[in-house]
Amino acid sequence: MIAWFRRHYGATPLHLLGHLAAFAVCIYALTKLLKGNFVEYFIGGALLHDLVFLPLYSLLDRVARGGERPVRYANYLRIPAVMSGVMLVVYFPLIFGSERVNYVHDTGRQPPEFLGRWLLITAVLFLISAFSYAVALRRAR
Amino acid sequence: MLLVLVGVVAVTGFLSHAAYNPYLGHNAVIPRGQDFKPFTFTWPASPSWLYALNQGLHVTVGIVAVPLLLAKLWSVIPRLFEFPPVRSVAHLFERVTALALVGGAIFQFGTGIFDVQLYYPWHFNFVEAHYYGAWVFCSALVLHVGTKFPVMVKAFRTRRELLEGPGGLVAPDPAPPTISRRGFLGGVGAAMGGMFILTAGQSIGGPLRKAALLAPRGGGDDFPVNKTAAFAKVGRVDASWRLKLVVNGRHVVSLSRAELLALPQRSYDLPIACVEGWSTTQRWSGVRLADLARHAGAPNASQVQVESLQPAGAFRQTTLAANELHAEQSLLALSVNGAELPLDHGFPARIIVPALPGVHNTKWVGEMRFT
Repeated sequence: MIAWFRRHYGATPLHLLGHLAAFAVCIYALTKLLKGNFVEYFIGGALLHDLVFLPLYSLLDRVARGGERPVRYANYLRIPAVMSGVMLVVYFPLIFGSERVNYVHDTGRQPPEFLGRWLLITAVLFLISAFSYAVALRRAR
Repeated sequence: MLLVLVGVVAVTGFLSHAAYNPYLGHNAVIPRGQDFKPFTFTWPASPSWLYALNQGLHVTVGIVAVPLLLAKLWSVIPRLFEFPPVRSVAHLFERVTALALVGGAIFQFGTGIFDVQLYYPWHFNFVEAHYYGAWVFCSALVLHVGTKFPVMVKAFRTRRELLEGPGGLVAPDPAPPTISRRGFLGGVGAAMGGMFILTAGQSIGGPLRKAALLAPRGGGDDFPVNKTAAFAKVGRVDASWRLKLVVNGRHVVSLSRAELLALPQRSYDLPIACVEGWSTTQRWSGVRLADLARHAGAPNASQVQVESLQPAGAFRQTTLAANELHAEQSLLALSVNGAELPLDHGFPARIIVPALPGVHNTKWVGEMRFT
């Protein structure tokens, strides 16, 4: 019986039950959300990440390394780039001042120079990395 | 690791929903009776730092988990393009779950992170979308972990990181590696550490607050304002202001600021903790809410609805539960750090209740209705 089920469904009955239960919760929650442009954001987020963002940073990585072959300095570029990139991905609304007006209304003061701070942090990260690369080169000699 | 962090964010998220006591008065943002009832209970009024801890964890852990989440999505991307795209009904279901999981993760992290920066590019209600989005994401996550649990156990036991064949995670035709596993994880860890240093201070305070250079409420501002009087359209409050006390719909007494200051005064160090993940502890002084209830002739009131002078907005009124009304440290604050309350912090009087979400500590109080 189980074997028959497995052959036709592809997994155990428990797998089917679990999925049906979770789909019921998802469909209930989604019916509450089908207003405004929710669907665009929900599906769009996944598509944007999988088909634009990820290929883009992979390509950037490859270009920076100058092709397929592994180069020694690659990771000295990658680590600060990833650190700074994640900061940008998370805090870009503040860094680019997208919601300056909301910030002033909410806090009663002008936003600090988030862009300047991020650039400065990025510069420091690359400097530290360049220094460690120099040290590594000297050691290798 | 990611599972643990996401678990913390999910649990604190649902707890935060409960902390608003949505079953009382007009507290509910999400229509009442539609918010999966088992998760509503009376939120405790002690310890005072409970909500600050909850929201600090929710927001800080969420932001720190971003590099790990991106790394995870990067590592499983070959699965998106697997062939054949669908092997069986079961496999189709798993792929639909993966869409709910990835879409849900990006949606939940994205909307939450935008919200703490007051960035609202979309046309839906953030609270509702973030709440129901959590149900989609969490049910997909539970299912995903349930389905993959045997694989996880096997991977841990054999110490072979990834399994080959259909359903495995090994890329079919990998390019030559350009970074070691240790280097990759080190990079992710460094990015997480960076996010922690740049964010956590707005919640933890102390010297870390100055290091929170990119956090919306970090970098030196140790007593932030949330919604200025000008934005809330609260004009000048003059000497004619009176606090109206109403018991069971009957107006009992009106008190001027001088009369309130003549009542027994208490001072407590209490945090204000915002749902957006920042918090600040200050020394508040004023009249205990329980004393006010007694003064109004309602010492056993079971709740109080507090109304602000603010003419509009979701949080112009709040209903406090009995435990919050009668808690030792619950105050109608008239001054802070020994000085008169500034207008942006709620002059002439504001609510300060331990462990209460920030926006429920109503500012510019005009009326209190005990029942």
